Amino acid sequence: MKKELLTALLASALVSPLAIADAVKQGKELAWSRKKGNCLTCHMVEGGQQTGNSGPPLMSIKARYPDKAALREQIWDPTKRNPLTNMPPFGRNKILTEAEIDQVVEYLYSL
Amino acid sequence: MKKIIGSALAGTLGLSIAFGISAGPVEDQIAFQKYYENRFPDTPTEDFANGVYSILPAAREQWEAIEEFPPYELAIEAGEEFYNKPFANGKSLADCFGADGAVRNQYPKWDSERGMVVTMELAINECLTANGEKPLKYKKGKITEVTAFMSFNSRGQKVDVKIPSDDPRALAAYENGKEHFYTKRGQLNFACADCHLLTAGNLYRADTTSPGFGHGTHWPVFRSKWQSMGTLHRRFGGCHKNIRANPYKAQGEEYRNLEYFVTYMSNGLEFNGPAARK
Amino acid sequence: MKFKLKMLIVGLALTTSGAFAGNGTTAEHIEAATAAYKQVAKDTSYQWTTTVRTIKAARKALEAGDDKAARKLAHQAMDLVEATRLQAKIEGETWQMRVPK
Repeated sequence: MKKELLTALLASALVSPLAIADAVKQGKELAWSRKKGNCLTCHMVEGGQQTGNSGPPLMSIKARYPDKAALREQIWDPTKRNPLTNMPPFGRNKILTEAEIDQVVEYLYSL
Repeated sequence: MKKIIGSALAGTLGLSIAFGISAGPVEDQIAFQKYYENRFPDTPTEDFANGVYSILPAAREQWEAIEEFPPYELAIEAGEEFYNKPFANGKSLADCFGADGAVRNQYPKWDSERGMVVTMELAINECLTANGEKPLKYKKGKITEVTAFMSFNSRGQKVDVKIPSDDPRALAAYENGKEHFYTKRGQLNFACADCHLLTAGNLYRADTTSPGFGHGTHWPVFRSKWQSMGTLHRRFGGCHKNIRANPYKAQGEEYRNLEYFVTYMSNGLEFNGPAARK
Repeated sequence: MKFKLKMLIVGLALTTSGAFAGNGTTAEHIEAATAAYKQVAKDTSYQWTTTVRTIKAARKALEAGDDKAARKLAHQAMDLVEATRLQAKIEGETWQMRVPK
């Protein structure tokens, strides 16, 4: 767990703007991919086709999660905060790698 | 498995004692049905037997058009032929299930002698093998033709699954199916209840999830996605694959217990199989 | 010999993937992951397709002579087995919350 936090901190503190732009791009690919994040199955995203409505729309993420680490935590294992959620624990169940989660976080923060 | 059932039962009893509550099957069923009635106030209770179409007016018209020239009609005819075809020993399925096979409301049932849930599909194969015939495969093909014929002749019968109180193993099988329905499984971490109870009626991509109330009533199904007929256990397996859980064996204990729970939750509805589904 | 191998597999299955990373052949690591998968399925009835696929990929890589990739996949499979066991534990504690009251 500590490792993930550290990665998140490093990602936010040390990465150059260019690297962030790259992470946003890769994060979007992961989020939209049906085999990987597949976020659109449940979340509306601007520009997305056939998006579901079982989760809240992905927008104004920065306002909803001022703390980036909390957003990462929510993706890593949302059942910690709410055992009733139907959102998959992408980190705990190893659906995405730690690096992939970092990229998805960057993408979501750009929304 | 026995150990799991045993501990599930012990756990239930322990909880009841510890908290002084007795959330038995009857209380479960009332709360379950009420949940859907509150969530979908526009749906008449008996209509939950129609699956997602009971809550999706937009898709209902097209579905009703399909049901006018049902894609399962040929299966019923083929099933009738097989049903009446004499075995090598001169007997037929009619010797086990009566002239018309209208026994849908007897299944799934608890078999106290063997201490297990017996489904209609299992009973059909046991009739076949007891008469020296080869058993049928459980997910698609011939079995769906036979059950299509038998279910068609049983239309209108009330779902009335019983959990005999004089056999604690029956309650344990029910509890096992119940726990399965409510536990998140597979790498994607979904419980049956996540899609078919807590978010029933929501969109996952372009698909609306069906209410769990009514899940056991309408089998076998001609599913457009399959372009063929399938059994309830075939569908269970498909759902499990979707959430990246390795499917259990059709007619194995896991799925028979799940069918026992799911169908018990639909007690009071009418059996209305076979049916067409997206 | 057979008994010894079995003990080794059980031993590997019991340790976490990180702990056995340096010991044993890759084939043994794959067998350990397979045994652990089966054990969790037996203990909890929780079983992931992803784990089965990862084990298959590990076997294939080993057959193709890519020991490094095979070993990595075997460890991934073991991680998935551990995640499955954790899921079963968490669900055992929380599933009742989903039952309508």
